[in-house]
Order: sequence, then C-alpha cells, then structure tokens
Amino acid sequence: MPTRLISTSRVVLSDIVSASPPASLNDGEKHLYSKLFEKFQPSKLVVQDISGGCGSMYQVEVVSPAFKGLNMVKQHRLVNETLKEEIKTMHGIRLTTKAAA
Amino acid sequence: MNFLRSASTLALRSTAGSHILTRRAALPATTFAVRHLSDSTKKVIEDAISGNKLVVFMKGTPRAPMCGFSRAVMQIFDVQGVDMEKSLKSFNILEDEELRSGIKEFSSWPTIPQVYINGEFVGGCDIMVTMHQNGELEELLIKEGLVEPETEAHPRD
Repeated sequence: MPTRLISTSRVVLSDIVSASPPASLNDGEKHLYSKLFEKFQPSKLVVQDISGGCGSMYQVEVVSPAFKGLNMVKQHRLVNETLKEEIKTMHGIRLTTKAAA
Repeated sequence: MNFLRSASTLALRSTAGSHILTRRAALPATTFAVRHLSDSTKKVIEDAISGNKLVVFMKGTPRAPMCGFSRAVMQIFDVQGVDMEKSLKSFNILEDEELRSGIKEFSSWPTIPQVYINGEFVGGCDIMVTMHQNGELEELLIKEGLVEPETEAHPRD
C-alpha cells in the first residue's frame, strides 16, 4: 500500500510545472526556463546547461499543448523563435519537443 | 575568461533581448530577409537543394566533421547505409562565412547542421536523431531512393 501512495504522488508531481524556475538551476538555465514557461505553458519543462561550464550549450525539453498538430520542424521552430537571441550566443542546443496529450 | 563572458552575455540578454525582439517584430518580414542573404548565396543554396537529393550544411566534412552535432548526423547516414560519396552533397559552412549566416536565414533555422532531402528542409541534429530512432528517416531515405530497402539489399538465393 505505501508503495502505491508514493507512485501516485510522483505522477501528480511530475505533471506540475512550476512557473518559477527550480532553485537548483544556474542563471542561464533560469533565464531560458522563464522564457519557455511564459511562451508555452508546458506540462513538462527541462532546461539543463550541458556545456560543462561555459554556458554555451543547453539541453531543453518542452512538452506543451501549443505543439498540438504541428510536425517536429514546426515545433522546433517555435522554440527557436522564442530563444532566438539566446541561441545566437550558444554553440549548440539539444532540443526535444512533444505535444501535450 | 571565455566562459565568463558568454555566461554574462546570456544573463544580460534577459533585459536587453525584449527590446530587440520588439523592434524586429515591428519590421516587415522581408526587411529582415534581405539583410544577410545575398542573391548569389541564395542561388548557391537553391541550386544545391534542387540538384541533389540529399544536402547537408555542416561544420567540417563528412569524413572529418568539426562539431559533435554534425558528426552525429554523418554517423546516422552512415548507419542508414547512405552512400556518402555518391549521394550526399555537403557544404562546410566553416569555410564560407556568408553561407554560414545565409543558410540560417534561408531555412529560418538558427543552428548547424541542416539537412535537406529532395529540396525540403528536414531538420537539424535533434530531428535527425529522433527520426532515426522512430523509423521515419529510413522510410524517407528509401522513398527518395537514397538507400535500398532492407529486403532487396541481399542477393536472392
């Protein structure tokens, strides 16, 4: 029984995306997180600095109802447009998008 | 020093960026489109993607990629069985600054590599990886005649 309780609460927690960036993020990650949250109202949002320190490479995952009915190129275009200025300063960005169910 | 600079640039952009975006948005799309992409570069790109089934704009060359993302795309085509010498036309954007900025504008896509199949923009590295994993890429490559279907790849008994 306790096991079931825990797994249920995990599911619920993972579906809630906080409007304010998690405290564990660095400044660059927080900036991207806030912009993406505002634009996409995501049901899942992960922003991770994968540069190893220089802040020039990020991994981003967005699951949002805004992507419904769009193919992958169009989904990525929306994110690219939102982070247009930021991407110019990066070496790379690893992007995963998905339409929220 | 380098990493400090890019980190602070990123942080600063959170305030400066909104002005830039607002101003850009006020301009007609065409004003932006003619800013970097010269007619000659546009023609190079158009000729390449209309004259070749598979075109990749990348950093480095298929044999010596100079970026992990470009390398990943080459590895995918290799695994898929694309004849790189014969079927793949590539451009090293590190050797051509105008092409480097021009292709980003042409595709409205901010990053390199960029893959065109049969004249159409298919995606960058992440989309290639996803399509490779879910089988869509194989389907597309077979449809465009860039690889042989698995069953016909072996001679009949």
